[in-house]
Amino acid sequence: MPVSYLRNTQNKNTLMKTDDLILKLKKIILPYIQDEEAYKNLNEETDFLRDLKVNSANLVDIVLDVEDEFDIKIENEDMEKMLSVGAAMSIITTKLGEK
Amino acid sequence: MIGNDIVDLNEASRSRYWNNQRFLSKVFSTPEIDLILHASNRLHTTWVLWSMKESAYKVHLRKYKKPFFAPLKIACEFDPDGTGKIIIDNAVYTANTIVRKDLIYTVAVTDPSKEYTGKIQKVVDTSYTNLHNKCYQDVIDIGSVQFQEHVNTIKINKDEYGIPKLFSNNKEQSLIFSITHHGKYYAYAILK
Repeated sequence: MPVSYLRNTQNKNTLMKTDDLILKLKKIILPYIQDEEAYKNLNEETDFLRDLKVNSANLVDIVLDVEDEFDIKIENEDMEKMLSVGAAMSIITTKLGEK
Repeated sequence: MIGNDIVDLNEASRSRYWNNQRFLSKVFSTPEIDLILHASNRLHTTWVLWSMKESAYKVHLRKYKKPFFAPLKIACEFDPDGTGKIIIDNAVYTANTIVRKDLIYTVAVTDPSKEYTGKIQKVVDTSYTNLHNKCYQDVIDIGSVQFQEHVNTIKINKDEYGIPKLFSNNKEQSLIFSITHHGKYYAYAILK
């Protein structure tokens, strides 16, 4: 996974680092998590359902929140893979790159 | 095989998106969305379909051990007599759904002629840990009676797919069960 990438929205050529992406993602998922410890230790390997104990219906809410936050459209094929923090980051990065 | 899923309707109605077209189109097929949009109670119908999908997914995972997150690949249908059916690939599961004022509960099975037992319980402490422990404790108590072992020798472990299994004295037992919790409720279903 690339460490950084171009975010081609209002601020063209603004570099968004992986750390910033994780922070934004953490903010989005906070209302849905049910395991504080896993949230504290969150990393790219963290699984939304198994580790953070997110309810699966809330996983759809997270996908919708991500769409709004990053102004991207997550297709159903992408949603299928969006099971971990790392997978979500990779999908967001790809979608932003396509913009 | 068996799978169950409970939805606390007070909890579900607080979800920001349940009544939103974007949510619906990520979770439900066109015929399912039609059912929801024409339902006298959209909240109920939405979560009946959801709990059918979720409970059938649990059965399917137990059977094929291939996890996926694709609610649209799980199709809900109803026979003319109202019996719910869930189709995943070529597998068909039968749903038995209970609708109460505050909750929706579905048990999905591969073989509708097999009997199962189960219970829905309400708790005051709605923390994940408490709900989780209550589910486990109830099934452990039943396992203790069934296998005539002291509760202390019985435990539940989830396998790598998240399927709960009962062990007594570290030996896996043949109890096939499913547990679920949401909001103020937890439930379990055990194949007889």
